[in-house]
This record gives sequence, C-alpha cells and structure tokens, in this order.
Amino acid sequence: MSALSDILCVFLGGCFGAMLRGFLSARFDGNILESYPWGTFAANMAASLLLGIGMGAMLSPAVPRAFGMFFDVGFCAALSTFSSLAWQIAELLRNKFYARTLVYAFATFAFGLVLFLIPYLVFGVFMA
Amino acid sequence: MGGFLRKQMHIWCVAFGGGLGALTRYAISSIIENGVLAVLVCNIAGSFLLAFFVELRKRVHPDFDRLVSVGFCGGLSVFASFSRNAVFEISHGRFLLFLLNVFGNFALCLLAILLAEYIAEKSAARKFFHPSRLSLLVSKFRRLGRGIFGGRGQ
Repeated sequence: MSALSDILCVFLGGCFGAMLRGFLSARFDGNILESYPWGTFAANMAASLLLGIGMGAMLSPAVPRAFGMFFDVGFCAALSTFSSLAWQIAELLRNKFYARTLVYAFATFAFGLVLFLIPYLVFGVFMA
Repeated sequence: MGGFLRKQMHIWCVAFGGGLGALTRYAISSIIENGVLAVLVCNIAGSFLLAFFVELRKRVHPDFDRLVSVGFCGGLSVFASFSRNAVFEISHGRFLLFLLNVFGNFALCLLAILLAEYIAEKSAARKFFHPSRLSLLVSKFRRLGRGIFGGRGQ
C-alpha cells in the first residue's frame, strides 16, 4: 500500500512539475543564440528554492512521508531539469559563445546552491 | 470537455511524460542506494535520450516529441536534487566529493550529449533509423493485421 501511494505521489508530482516547466520554457525560452534561456533558468531556480523550503519543512517530524514523495521526488525534481541545461550548454559551445556558456552554467550552478541554502537555513534556525 | 482535452493535448503529453520520467527516476534511485550516484545516472540518461532522438523526433508528431523531450527527459534529469547534494557535501566538509559531483554532472552530461549525437549520426548514415526502414516496418505490421483481421484494411 505504501509503495502504491509512493508511486502515485511521485507520478502526480512529476506531472505538475513538468507542466509548469513546459509552460515556463515555452513562454520564456527564446532562440538560444539570441538570449539566455530564461524559462529553463527560472524553472531550475524555482525548483531549488522550493526544494529548500520543502526540505526545511521536512525537518519537522509532523510532515508526512507522502508529502516528501510528492514534493521532493516528484514536483521539484520534475520542475528542474539537467538535460535541457546540458543541451543548451552544448549548443552554446558549438556556436562558440564561450563567455555566455560560462555565465549561464555558473549562474545556474551558484544561484541554485544559494537559493536552496537560504530557506533551508532559515527553517533550521526556526526549528531549532 | 472533450474539446478542451483535445485542445490542451500538448500540455497533457508533457505532464504524462514528466510523471513517467519521475517514476523512472524513483525506480533508479531505489536500485542505486547512493543518492548522489543515482542523480548522476539519471542526469546522464536524460541527456543521452534527449540528444539521441533529436533527429528522429522531427519525424514524429510534435506532441509525442514534447512528451519525450520536455516531459520524460526533463522529468528524468534533475537539477534541484543535484544542488541539494552539493550543499550537503560542502556542509559536511566533503570537498573532494563536491568537486567530483559538480564536474562529473556537467562534464559527463555534455559528453553524453556529444556521444548520443555521434551514435545517432552513425546509425543515420547506416540508415538504421531511415524513414524507408520505418515505413517498411509499418507496412509489414499492416500486412500482418490484414492476415489476422481479414482484408478490409487499406
């Protein structure tokens, strides 16, 4: 029973995450050679921030396991993507936009870390 | 209701692909105990799939293309868990693992994309995925279907 509810939670979370990411990338990703792919960037950043909030909330034992499955394994993971990121980096490198590649990769990496860390630390302070 | 469902078909395709990708990632992470390694494997697999079918995807229905590329590959690969792992590695003082994780993810996913494109190009040159071969397969199935269900098919 637990396995079935896990599967359902992960699937539903994945559906919602992918829908939101699909909307963001369809709306805000332009031609990669003309501008930064803001949609994918926003999806990754939002996912990191929400995962930080979720992990912080999950420090409390009152939060059920199903929420972790839905939010962490399902929603946040499907909202963020690494395959599109790697594809965009490869495309930028192929067209010899080296500076833009570095800025995009480093910004995604650094802001992703920071946006996860801040809410997680805030929750840790309030929970302690 | 039916009209609404049909008009929004591309959205449901992305959602369904994302759900399937998330389930696949869940299965992989339950097989591979190490969380960091599981994320790495999922990211490499997602990147490889995305690049491998890039030529083939132009020949299928755009909704199916979205299901695979935006939905499944995006749901399979993950950035949020990667940054969480990186943060936890730094906070536990495992700097070597942190560096391995970061460079492993970026470098191996790029390599996976290049490798996938190379293999796809090779197999296209050998006409492995050539349309003529696909249509041959389709006509074989049609003939089989006519054999089973009688000769009313086209």
